Amino acid sequence: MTSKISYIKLIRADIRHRGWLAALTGIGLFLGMPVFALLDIDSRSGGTAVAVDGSAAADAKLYMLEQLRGRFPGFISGSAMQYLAAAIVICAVLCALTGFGYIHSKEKLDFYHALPVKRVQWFTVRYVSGLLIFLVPYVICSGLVVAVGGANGILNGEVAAESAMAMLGGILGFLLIYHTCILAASLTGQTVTGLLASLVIAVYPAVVAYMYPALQGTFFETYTGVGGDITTALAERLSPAGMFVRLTEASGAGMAGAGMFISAAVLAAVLLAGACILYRIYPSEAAGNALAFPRTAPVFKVMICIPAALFSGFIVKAFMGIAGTRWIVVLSLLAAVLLCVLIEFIYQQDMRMLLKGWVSSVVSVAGVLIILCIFSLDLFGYDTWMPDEKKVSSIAFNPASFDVYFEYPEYYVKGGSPMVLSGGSSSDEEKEVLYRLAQTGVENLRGGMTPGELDLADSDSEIAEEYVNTVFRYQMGGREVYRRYCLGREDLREALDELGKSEEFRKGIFPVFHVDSSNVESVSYRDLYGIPASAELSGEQIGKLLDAYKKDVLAADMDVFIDGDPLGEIILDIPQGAGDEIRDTVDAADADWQWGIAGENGTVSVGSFYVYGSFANTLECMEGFGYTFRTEIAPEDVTAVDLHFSGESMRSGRYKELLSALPQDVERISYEDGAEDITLWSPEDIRAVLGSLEPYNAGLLGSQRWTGDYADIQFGEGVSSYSYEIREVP
Amino acid sequence: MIELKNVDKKFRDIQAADHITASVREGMIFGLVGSNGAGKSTLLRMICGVIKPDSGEVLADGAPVYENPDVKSQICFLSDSPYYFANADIEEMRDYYMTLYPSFDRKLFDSLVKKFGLEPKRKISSFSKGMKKQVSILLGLCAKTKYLLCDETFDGLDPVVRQAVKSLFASEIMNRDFTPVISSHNLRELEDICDSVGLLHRGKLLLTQELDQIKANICKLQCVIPDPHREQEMISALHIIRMERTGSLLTMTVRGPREKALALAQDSGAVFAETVPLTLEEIFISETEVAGYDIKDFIY
Repeated sequence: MTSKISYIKLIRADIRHRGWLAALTGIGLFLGMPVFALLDIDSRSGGTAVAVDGSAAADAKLYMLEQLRGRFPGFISGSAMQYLAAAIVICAVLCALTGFGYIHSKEKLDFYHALPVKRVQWFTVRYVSGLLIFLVPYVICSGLVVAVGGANGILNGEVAAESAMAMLGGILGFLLIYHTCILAASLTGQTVTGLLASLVIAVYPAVVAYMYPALQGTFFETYTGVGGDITTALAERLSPAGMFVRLTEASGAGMAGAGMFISAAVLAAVLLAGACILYRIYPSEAAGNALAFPRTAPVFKVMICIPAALFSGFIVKAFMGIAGTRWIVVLSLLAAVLLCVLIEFIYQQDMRMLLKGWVSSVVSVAGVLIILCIFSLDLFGYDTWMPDEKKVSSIAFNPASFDVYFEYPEYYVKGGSPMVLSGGSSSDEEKEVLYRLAQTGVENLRGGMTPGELDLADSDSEIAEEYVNTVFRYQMGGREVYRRYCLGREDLREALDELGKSEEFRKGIFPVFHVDSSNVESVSYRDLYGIPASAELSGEQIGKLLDAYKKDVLAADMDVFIDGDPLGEIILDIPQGAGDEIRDTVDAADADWQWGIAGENGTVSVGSFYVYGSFANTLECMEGFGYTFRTEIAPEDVTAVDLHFSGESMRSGRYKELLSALPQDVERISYEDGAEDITLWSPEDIRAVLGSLEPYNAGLLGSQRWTGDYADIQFGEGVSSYSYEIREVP
Repeated sequence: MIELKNVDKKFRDIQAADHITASVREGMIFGLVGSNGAGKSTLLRMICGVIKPDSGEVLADGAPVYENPDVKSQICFLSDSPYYFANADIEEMRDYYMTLYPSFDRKLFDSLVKKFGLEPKRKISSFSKGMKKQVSILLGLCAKTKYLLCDETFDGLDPVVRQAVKSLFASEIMNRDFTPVISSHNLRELEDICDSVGLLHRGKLLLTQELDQIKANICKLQCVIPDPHREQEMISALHIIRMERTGSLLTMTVRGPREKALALAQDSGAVFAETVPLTLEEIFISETEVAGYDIKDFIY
């Protein structure tokens, strides 16, 4: 009956009936894509050429061009303009609901389904016309964006390929939301509930996937967010909304791989198949009801209510800034009750019928309660769990202080996890040391010393001085398990002394062994003055310096790193995208630029290669190259000293002796809490306090107590980037 | 021929169609009457393939209707509240129907539109309820399908248009293979136009027969029989649906041939006896009363 010609006629008729949507989509995409791209490129390119001149102008233009090329695919996928991403979502929702919303109206449904066309054919007609309403203007606008890029000299082969990928990303993103809404429309009998269902389907897997680590993080003391990539990946891959965001962002940054496109296509196909099946069996009498399949109502209610109640509990707690976990239980149960009422109202749309689905309401609330009991009472012994030592193939650990003390080049290459870097011991001796260390962590936990307590402790408290939170990674076959324990500093010191005997361990944890010397573009250093100074070294000299530094690191006693005061540090400039992971550096590099730690164009500065007095090889090497680490601050080099004393220090008279050495008329600023800032300008005053100042360094275990008192020093050659600790006695 | 074989449909707790078995013969106008919520619309929606029965079969010319475009191309359903595209005019709707019904008679449609005084370029949304129904009927008629299902289509039409539509139906029946099925509350209307009638009540088909046959098989008997004993004997012999007594005058709604009822009364020594044919409305009231749908329940 319905020939191919009829199909085309029906699609044409459907598009004509939705002409307003086609016009709206066309105008919206035209403004959001080529027009926005044109304005954005113009405003950016117009801004830079003015400020620089000569060859610098060319460099700046080149840099700006590179920036625009990096940004360009985002004009197509929506990552460069969030309104475009929102427009794609809105188009998808409108295309789906205007196309399939007719099944929610008895009149329309009677009209269409009485016509001599099969449901599958209707589905195809509606689906294709909705798709075309978006696709045609989107592809045309993408072409116009590319033309804009070509006219502005942005386009090259790589950018063109990335733009094509971005377009694919945009189309797949549209399909994900489009299919989600069609599925939701086929599940419901009203457009309003269809919209709500779309929202639920779009975010449900993400909420569920994130809920598990959120519960762990809230209720389990030893839980650490490290290694949570599986839940994140699941949330992104199974959730249409998560996948949409990931897809548009990644394809807009030219970072989307085939895997991402395939997983998006698979998810879109699954949603479409589900929608098609439901549409075929959609009961015509469902029009006007909340749900198309009333028997599923209690199931959906329970499925939505439990994670949504827990999620609401967390959200309210976060917004209200409520401490502790007790309120989460109360808030989640309250949210469960309210959600049951709300869902039942949506189902029945009658206040008198709110208790009709009481069984599913009870199941929902009980479900929330059971989950909260399991987590809050730790019924499965998550916190006290220790793996069978025999089954553990390796153990890695990462005290929190390592994150402060070390700076790894991998941070800027992979945006990587420090856990990869801190150990990963596979030798039996090292494994045993770390296993015993972890056991002390569990014992501490049983004794009430938890990582959470340490997190909340003041930095100058005794607990903070004596304990360090440490993350452990147990590797068992192909499985990785992470835990976080509160460990005594002395226990850690002993373990480090033991582990430090191994050269392999040192090579694993010290960042210098992670640097490929051939990748180092330049070297600078900071001594006690804390002012970066460039060391003009050849590639060979850099290699020699790093070799000397490695020797010193391997030879030094571990206590040097824990208790020693460094003379300064060496800073290495490495390429942003050293290695094969250039694409992954975008975020990290952006952050670096933002925080001002980036080096020359295309490089980042990696510091914290501390040099201690006992590092004879390094110091000798530097001296050989003509650079000396100053071991004392000469008073004549100092132009000003700012002393900052906390209120508590002032009240306790801790610095009485030091302050008595200063004249009464020094520049002071007093604060309400008793804190004082003193600025010294005269050479005599500076000389009087200089002996009490030394650069602050917490050491490998962060073992030096931070009192909150510090000094800033201005030298004739510049302002020190270090903060100086103030000793009580000059 | 449209056949319903043990068709059953339930909406949650409501039995909309309760094991209905019936047939609509070709070339006749079939009227579907029933109380409010009896399931008339549901039955029509099942016949045109909008709703799938929970069990049983709906066949048109021997083939199942649901999801069968070939069969559905011979059935046109006119809903009680017809749907038109937003901002559509008559021509747009005509063109759409032409896409779906290859036998659509454009010439006839255009001429009828003119005759009915409908403006082809005017937006249908600006039409009155009755005019919208007219458009719906014309579209359905000109689709040239074998079966035309009209769900309360005549309600809302003015008497002139109603008469015109009746004539159109009669002409179509004479000129081609055409079988309209009309559901309505206006029994007077159906009485004039229908050849056969199906009476629905609470999802059950109480009767389905040709109208003449129904009328011949039910009548109102009024008589006066002086002898109470013989009167009782007569009452026992008749199939009485309804009975009222006013003084010595006995008024009964009786199932069976009129002649037989009259003869029985006369044989019982009636000093006065006559039979009166029932209107469709009276038949409806009597039959539904038997099924428990009594007007007294509304009044007292």
